[in-house]
Amino acid sequence: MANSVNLFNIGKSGLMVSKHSMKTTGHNIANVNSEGYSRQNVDQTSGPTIPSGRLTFGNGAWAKKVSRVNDEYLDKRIWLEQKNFSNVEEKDIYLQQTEQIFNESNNDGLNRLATRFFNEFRKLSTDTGNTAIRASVRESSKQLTSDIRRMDAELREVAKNIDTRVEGYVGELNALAREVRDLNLMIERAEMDGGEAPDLHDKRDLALKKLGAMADISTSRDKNGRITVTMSGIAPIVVGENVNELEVMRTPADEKTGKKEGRLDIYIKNPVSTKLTEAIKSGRLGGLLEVRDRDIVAAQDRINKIAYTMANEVNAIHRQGFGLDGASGRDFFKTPTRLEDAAESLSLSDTVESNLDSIAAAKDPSAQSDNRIAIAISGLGDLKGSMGDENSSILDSYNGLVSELAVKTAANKKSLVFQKDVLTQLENVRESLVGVNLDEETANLIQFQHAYAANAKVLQVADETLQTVLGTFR
Amino acid sequence: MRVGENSTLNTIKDSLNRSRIRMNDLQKQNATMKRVNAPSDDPVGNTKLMSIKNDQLDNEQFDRNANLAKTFLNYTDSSLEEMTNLVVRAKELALGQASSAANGPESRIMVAEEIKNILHEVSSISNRRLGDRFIFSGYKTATRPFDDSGKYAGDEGNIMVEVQKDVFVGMNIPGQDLFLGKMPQKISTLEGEGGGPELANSPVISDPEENIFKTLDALRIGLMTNDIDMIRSTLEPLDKIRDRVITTRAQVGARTAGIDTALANSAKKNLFNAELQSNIEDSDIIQVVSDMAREETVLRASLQASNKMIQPTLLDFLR
Repeated sequence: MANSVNLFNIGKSGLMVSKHSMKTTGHNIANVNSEGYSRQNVDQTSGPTIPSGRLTFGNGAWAKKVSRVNDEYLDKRIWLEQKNFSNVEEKDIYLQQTEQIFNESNNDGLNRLATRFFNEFRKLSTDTGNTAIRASVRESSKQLTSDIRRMDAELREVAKNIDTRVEGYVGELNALAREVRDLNLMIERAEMDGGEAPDLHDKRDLALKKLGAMADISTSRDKNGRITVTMSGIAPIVVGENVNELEVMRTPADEKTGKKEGRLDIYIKNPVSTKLTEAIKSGRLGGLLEVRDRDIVAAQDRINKIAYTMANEVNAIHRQGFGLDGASGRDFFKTPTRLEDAAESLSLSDTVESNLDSIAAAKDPSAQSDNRIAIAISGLGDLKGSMGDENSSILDSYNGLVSELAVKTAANKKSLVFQKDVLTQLENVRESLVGVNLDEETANLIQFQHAYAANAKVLQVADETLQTVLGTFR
Repeated sequence: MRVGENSTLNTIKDSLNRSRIRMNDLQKQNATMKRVNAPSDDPVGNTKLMSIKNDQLDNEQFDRNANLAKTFLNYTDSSLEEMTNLVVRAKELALGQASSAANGPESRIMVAEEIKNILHEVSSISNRRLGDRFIFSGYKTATRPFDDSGKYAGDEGNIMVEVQKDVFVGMNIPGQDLFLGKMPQKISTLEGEGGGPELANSPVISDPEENIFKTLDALRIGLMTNDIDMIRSTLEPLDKIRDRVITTRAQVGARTAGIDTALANSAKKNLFNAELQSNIEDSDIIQVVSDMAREETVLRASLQASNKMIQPTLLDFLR
């Protein structure tokens, strides 16, 4: 009698376990495409044994817990490579945009326009009195100045785009930090009774992976299993129940000193507002800041220096010369007031703009074909040393800038491909471990279905046995 | 070893993507016929390309300068040729009238008439213009160099033009030395240190010789007045003047030759640059087309493989 009832229980336990397994398999199949999902399985074990006289019988099966397949070490490596990949990925976008500003392979750029500018003075030296040549000198100078201004404006534009992106990522970073904090608390609550909440762990890992891609993030686990997140080794972002948010601020323009609006800086709010911009060196934010604060700033500095040097050097000679109108001491370009905005403000002086005869080619005011000033100006393009380096000319300096940028962009492109490979490979390793394979799940499903059917059969047998017993005493 | 569902798909997506990126790159090369479409495609090559472009632009201008200077010098040369002939003719006439007592005052007056014409022609040569520029007035090309009294109103300016990087050639002959009798300046080309010629005025070499106008006028007056001594006194100056004109012409010739060398150099350099540019910049079109064909095969193969990989699952066989 006891045995028949017991058989009912055994059948029921098997039925339950098979159902759990089928449910978990179904969950795996349903999540085959969920980002960050690790496959789960039911840890199933035999039930408690009950001694019955001399014999000890097993007592069915039970599901201990649902756990996920996971390799913490592999995850950490993936986060690291994801961070490196995201870094070069961001740099790639903006380095290419910056490079494009200086791309002369299909159109005119500063290199050609500056060369043409100096050649126009060579042309002027052959026929200084010729108004058509003077007009073409002025025209090429205008093209040159407008191209330098264009570069300056476009560099600013790229920096501004980066600012927008930085702002977006900082918002995303804050949201992810809050998500990690929330998941910390949810996991703690869910696992209070010793169970495991695999889906919540997956979600937290995914959030940490995305967070880690933003900047250099380090994590540690406290005694309650909560993850503490620290950024750049100095700023704790998620601690216990608190999220320490980041914010972005811009140094406002100063009307008095004429200083322009500054770059966008990243601050951590608490405990005291601290600037993090310089401390962030990796991840998406690190990549963006590197391009903005190093590469673009270097390009802007160089362009400003070129504009400043060009205007002052040309003016210094031009002022010594005489125009066709016999007057002297006039500037060719407007004298730049400050180095920082020399490129932005580069333009022709008002006299040259309005009067072709004021272009000075002669050293002797009465000699129409005196071309000594024109020749001296035409030689400036190749004159070494004017940019502070005695081995390079203005044009060398510009070409150097383009080549530095090109080398960096090319190297970055290469590491983008490399990092992508590394990441894909690691992701594949992870997939092979924790990813869902539909064939496998289908096979499992069949396996569990069979188990379910067999357990049902056990119930039927138990039932029939009981019926037989009951029928005997009718 | 298991294979995750997503890793299969990722592998497929990755290989297709790579194939398409390479195709895209090749297509770009095919469309532009260029291998270098952005500086980072070949940073070193790009730097070289930029300096080649500079060189080409410079050479274009140098060639233009050279041709212009050549026109100027050729015109000067033909003027000097005419002048040589005129001076030689004057000398012949002077010699004929100076040595022969047979010639009477009447014939001398006729010869004087011819000398007057010669003087007239020399004076017109001295005020020649190319376009609107006087060729013998130094820098002051807008000023008529010689007035009726033969006074020089120009200056000593040598209009230097750059015909090759840092090689300057004077394209004019200032008239003072030539007509009024100073030895021509010796400098024909000026090789600066890269900054062009110095801005300071070159010193005027003062070495008065015979004035061509005055000498011819003296000859004319001698003939008119039948003053044989006076006629004789012009013989030596006329020789010197002839030598001077010939020397100047030789100088002009040397400059023209220098310009021709510069032009030849620049043509050579252009050819060399064009070849270098093509080597760096141009895509090897046969290579590109064959690469594209290969890449297409790869793409097809991956697509076909993907088809096989994506389709069958265990479910297809559980019926």
